[in-house]
Amino acid sequence: MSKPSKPHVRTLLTPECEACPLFVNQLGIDLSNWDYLVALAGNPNTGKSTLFNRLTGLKQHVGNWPGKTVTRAEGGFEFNGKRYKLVDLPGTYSLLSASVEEEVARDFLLFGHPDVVIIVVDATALERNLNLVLQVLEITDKAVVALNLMDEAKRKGIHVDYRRLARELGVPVVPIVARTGEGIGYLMQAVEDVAAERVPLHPRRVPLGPDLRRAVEELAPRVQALFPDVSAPRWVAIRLLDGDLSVEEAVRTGQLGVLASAPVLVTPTSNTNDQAPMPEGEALIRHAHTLRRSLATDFRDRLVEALYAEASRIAQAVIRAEGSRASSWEERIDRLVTHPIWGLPLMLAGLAIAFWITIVGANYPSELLARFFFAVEDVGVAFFQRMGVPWWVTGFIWEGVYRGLAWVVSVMLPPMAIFFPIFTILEDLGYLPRVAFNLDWLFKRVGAHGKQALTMTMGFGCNAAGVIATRIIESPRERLIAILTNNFVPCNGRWPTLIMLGTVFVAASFRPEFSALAAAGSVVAAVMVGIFFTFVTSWLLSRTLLRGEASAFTLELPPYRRPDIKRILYTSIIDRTIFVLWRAIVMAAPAGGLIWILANIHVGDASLAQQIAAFLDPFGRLLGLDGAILLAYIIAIPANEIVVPTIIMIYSGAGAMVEVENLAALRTLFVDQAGWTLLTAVSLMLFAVLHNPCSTTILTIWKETKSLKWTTIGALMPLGIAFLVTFVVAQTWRLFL
Amino acid sequence: MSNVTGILLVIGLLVVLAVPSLRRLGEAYRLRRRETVEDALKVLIDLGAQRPDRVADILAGRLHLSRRAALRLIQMLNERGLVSMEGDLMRLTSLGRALGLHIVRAHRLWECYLSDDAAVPLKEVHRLAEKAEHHLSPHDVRRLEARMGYPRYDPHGDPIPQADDKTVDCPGTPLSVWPEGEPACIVHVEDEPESVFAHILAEGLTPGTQVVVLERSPQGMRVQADGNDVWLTTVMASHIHVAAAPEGLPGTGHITLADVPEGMQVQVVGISPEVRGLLRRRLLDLGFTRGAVVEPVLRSSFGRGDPTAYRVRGTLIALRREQARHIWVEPLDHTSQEEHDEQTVETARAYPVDA
Repeated sequence: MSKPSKPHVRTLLTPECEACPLFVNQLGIDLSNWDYLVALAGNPNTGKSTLFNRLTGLKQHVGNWPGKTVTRAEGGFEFNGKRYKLVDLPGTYSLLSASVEEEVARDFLLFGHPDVVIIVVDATALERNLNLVLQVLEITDKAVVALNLMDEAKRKGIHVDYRRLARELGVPVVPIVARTGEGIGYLMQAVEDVAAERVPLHPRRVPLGPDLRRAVEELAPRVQALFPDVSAPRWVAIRLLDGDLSVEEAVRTGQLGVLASAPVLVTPTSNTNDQAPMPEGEALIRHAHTLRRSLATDFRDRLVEALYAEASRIAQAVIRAEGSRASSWEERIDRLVTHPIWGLPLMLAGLAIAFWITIVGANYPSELLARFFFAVEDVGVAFFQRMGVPWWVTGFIWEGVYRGLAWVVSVMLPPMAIFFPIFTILEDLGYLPRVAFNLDWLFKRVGAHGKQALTMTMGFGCNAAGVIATRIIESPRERLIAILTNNFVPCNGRWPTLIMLGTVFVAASFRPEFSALAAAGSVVAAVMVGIFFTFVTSWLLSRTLLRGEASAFTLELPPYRRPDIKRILYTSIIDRTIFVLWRAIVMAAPAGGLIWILANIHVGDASLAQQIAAFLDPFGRLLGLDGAILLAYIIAIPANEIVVPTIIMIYSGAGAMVEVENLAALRTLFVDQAGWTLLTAVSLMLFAVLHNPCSTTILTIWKETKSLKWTTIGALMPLGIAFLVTFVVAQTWRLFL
Repeated sequence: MSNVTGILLVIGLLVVLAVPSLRRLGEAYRLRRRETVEDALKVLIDLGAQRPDRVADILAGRLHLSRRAALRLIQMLNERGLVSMEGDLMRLTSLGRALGLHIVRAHRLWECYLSDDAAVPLKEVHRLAEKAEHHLSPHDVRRLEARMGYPRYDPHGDPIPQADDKTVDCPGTPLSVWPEGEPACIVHVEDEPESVFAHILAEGLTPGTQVVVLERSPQGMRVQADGNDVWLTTVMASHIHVAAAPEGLPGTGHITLADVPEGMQVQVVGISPEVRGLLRRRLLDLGFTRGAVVEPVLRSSFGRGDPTAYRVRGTLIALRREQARHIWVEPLDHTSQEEHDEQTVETARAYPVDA
C-alpha cells in the first residue's frame, strides 16, 4: 500500500543521496560521556516513541520522572562522532494546563536545559501539532521540528511545504518517516547544527493580545534584569502572570538564574546562591500578582486562542491538500467497529480470541517451566542432602522459598508474556480507544470513564498491570475509580482456582454431557459477579468518597496505525512482564518461606498451619468457607497462584505446597476429607473474585496514588465486600437449602 | 487453656485497636473547638466594632450556640489575642482578622475547586467547603489559588479576598432594585440561608445567567432568565446581585455542539462561562477555541450519540453530551471560508519555494 508513495517521499526527503547510510549509531542504555542532551517533545500519537527507538535502539532506561507517575525513557546514540543523550518527554497537546505530564515536560524544557529539543510533528494534523511547537519555541530557541508521518500525509493527499514551515517557525524543519527511518540522517544533521550553534535561529513568537502584551512587556525586562542568563524571559513573564508555582518557586529561590547559567545535570556545585529567598525575586512575584489583576479574567483563554490562531495561520500557509481530507477506509472501519449491531460482537470476539490465544499459548510453556523448575528443585535437594545440610535448611530453601517462586513464575510468566503484547498491539492499532468509546455510556452511568474498560481488560492479565494501565485515564477522579475497582476483575493468578472449582464441583453436579458447559458457565458467572461489583463500587465511590476529586472527560480516537511489532514485543515483555514478575517474585519468596515454616513447626500433634486453621475455622464457617481456606488467603497475599497449593498442603498435612493433578483425587481430598460442599465451592469462587488485591497490586496502588488513604481503601474495601457477600450467601443458602 | 489464651488475645487486640481511636476522639474534640473559633472569626470579620453582648447574640445565632457558650467563646478569643476591647467596643485584632480572612479565602477557593474541577453541584459546595476550610494551611490555600488560576469570585459570586487585601466587597446590585427591561447578568447569589439559596438554584439562576426584569409587584417579580419566565419573591430577588450584561457574549438561542447533526461543519464561538477549571483548560488545549472548525463524525450507537467523536484540528476527540452542550457554535460560513483559502493560496504563491 505504501509502495507507490515511497519514490515520492524519497525524492522529497533524500534527493541526492540514494546511497547515504543511516549513520546514526544506536547506543541503547549506554549514556556515558554524552556531549549533547536532546529532549524529544510532541503530541501523543505522532510516532514519538518510534523515532525514539529508531535513534537509540530498543534498549532504553525506563523509569518514572522523579516523584511523578509519568513514564520517563532515556537512551543514547552517536552521530558524527558526537554522543547524544535522548530524553523522551511525555506526549502532550499543550504545556499550559496543570496536568502532571505537561508539568513534567515544561519543567524539563526550562530547568533540564536540553541542548536541542526535537519536536515531533504529525504532518497529517499540522495545525494541532503546531500549537505545541509554538509553545516549545516560547521556552527555547534550540529546537528542530521533525515532520513525521510524511508517507501517511502523502497518502492522504496532504502536501506540506516544509521549507516555508521552517521560515515561518524560524527553526529547522526536517521531513521524516520514523517507521522506515527515512530522513533520520538529515534530522540528526539539523540537530547537530543546532547543538553546535551553527545555524541562526529566530523562533516565532506568538502575537499576544493588547493587555497581556502590555503586562508581559512590563514584566519581561525585570525578569531579564534579574536573571540575565535566562533564554526565555517573555515566557517566564507569562508563566508568572499565569501563576505557575514551580516557576514562582524558581524565581523566589534564585534557582532560575543558576539553572540557566550552569550546564545542567552537572552536580550543583556551581550553585553559589544558597536556597534562601532572594528579595528581588519576591518583589518580582508581587509585581506579577499586581499585574495579573489588571488583566481580563479570561486572559488564559485568549492566550490559548492566540496560539491556535497562529498555528492555524501557519498551517494554512504551508499545507496544500488535495482530494478528501480523511481517508475513507478509516471512516469505514470506524463505522464498523462502532456499529450498533456489529460493534459489540466484534469486540467480544476480539476479546475472546485474545483470551483464547493467551490460554492455549500459555498452557504448554507453563507446563514446561513447571517441569523445569521442579527438576531443578530435585537436583538442588539431592545436592543439599549429599552435602549433609540439615533437613530443615533444605526444606526451607527448596520446598519453601524456591517452590513459592517457581510456582509464581511458571503460572504467571507465560500468560503475561502473551497477553500484554496482544493488548498493546490492539492499543497501538487504535482499536482499544474505540472500545472505550463504545462502552463509555455504560461507564458514564456509574461515574467512571470509558477507558476503564481497557484497564479492566488489562486486569484479566494482572491487576497490578491494570492499575498501572490506569495512567491512560487523564481525569483524576475516574482514574482513582479505575484503580480502586480493578481488583474485581480476576487476574490470571485467580483463573486456575476458578476453573478448578468449576470443574471439580459445579460440573460434577450436572449430567456428564453438560458438565463442560456447566464448568465454563460457572467461571463466566464468577467473572460476571466481579464485573457487577466493579460497576456497583464505581457508582458508590463516585458518589461518596470520590465526590471531591477533580474530573474531566475527553477521549481521543487516534488514527489507525500499523503497530511497531518489534518494539511492542520488546517493551511489553521487558518492561511490563519482567517488571510485574519481579515485584511478584520479591513478594512470593518470603511467603513461600513463611508457608513452609507454618507447615513444619509442630505444636502438639498438628502443624502450626493446622492449628491456626482450626482457630480460624468458626469464622470461616460463617462465610461458607473454612479455616484452612482463610489461612491460605492470609499467607498467600503475595500471589493468588499459591492459594490452592497451600490449601491442599494444609488438608493433607504435607510439609510443603503441593499440587494434585488428578481431579478425582482432588475431589476426594476436598469432599471426603475436608468436608467441602457445593456451598464451599460457590463461596470460594465468590471470595476468589472479590477478596483483597495481592500485595503486588497493593504496592502498585500505593506507587500510583502515593496515598495511604487510597491504598488502604483499595485493599480493605474489596475484602469487606468479599466478607459481606460470602456471609450473606452462606447464611441464605443454609436457611433455604 | 486455649479458651483463656483466645480471650486474652482478643482483649489484647481490642486494647491495641482502642488506643488510637481514643486518641482520635480527643483530636476530634480539639478540632471541633478550633473549628468553632474559626467559624466565629468568619462571622466577626464582617461586623466591625461591636458591644460584646451584641457580639455574643450574633455568634449564638449564627453558630447555633447557647448564649453562655457564646460568651465563653468570646472569652477564649480574647485570651488568644484574636479580639481586643477598645473602650466598651470589641473588635478583631490584626491577628484575628488575618486568620479570619484566611478561612474565608480557604472556603471560597475550595468552593471554586469543588464546582470547577470536581463538578459538584452548586447547592452542595457550600456545605462541603464549610468542613474543608478548617483543614487547609495557608500554603495549601496558596497552591489551591494558583491551581484554580487566581479566581476573583467563588462559584456563586462572592469575591475571594486576596492574601494581602484588607477589604471584602460584594459586587453588583441586588436584583430587587434593578430597573425593568434592562438586560443584566447575575454576578452573585447569596448562599445563606440555605433554603433561599436552594430555591434560587432550583429556578436555574446561577452566576453567569442573563436576566431581564419583566414586571414587579410588592410580593415579587417576574424575570426572564435564559429564555424562561421565572417568578421570584422579593426575598429571593434581594439575594441575587446583578450587573449590566457584558457585550459580545452569545446569549440565549445559540446552538451548541451537542445540537449539530453528523457531518455538518461548524465554527466554535466560545465555551460557556459555566465551564471553568480543569475541563475548560482541557477543552481549550484540545483546540476547541474560538474559530475552530468542528465536525461531528461518529456517534456512539450504544449511548445514543453520547459520547460523540468530533473532528477538530485534524484529530478525532470524543466528548460527552454534557460537555458538548457547553460549546457554542455557529454554522460555518462557506463563502468566507473559501475566500480565506484562496487568499492563503495567494500568499503562499508570493513566496517562491527555494531549492
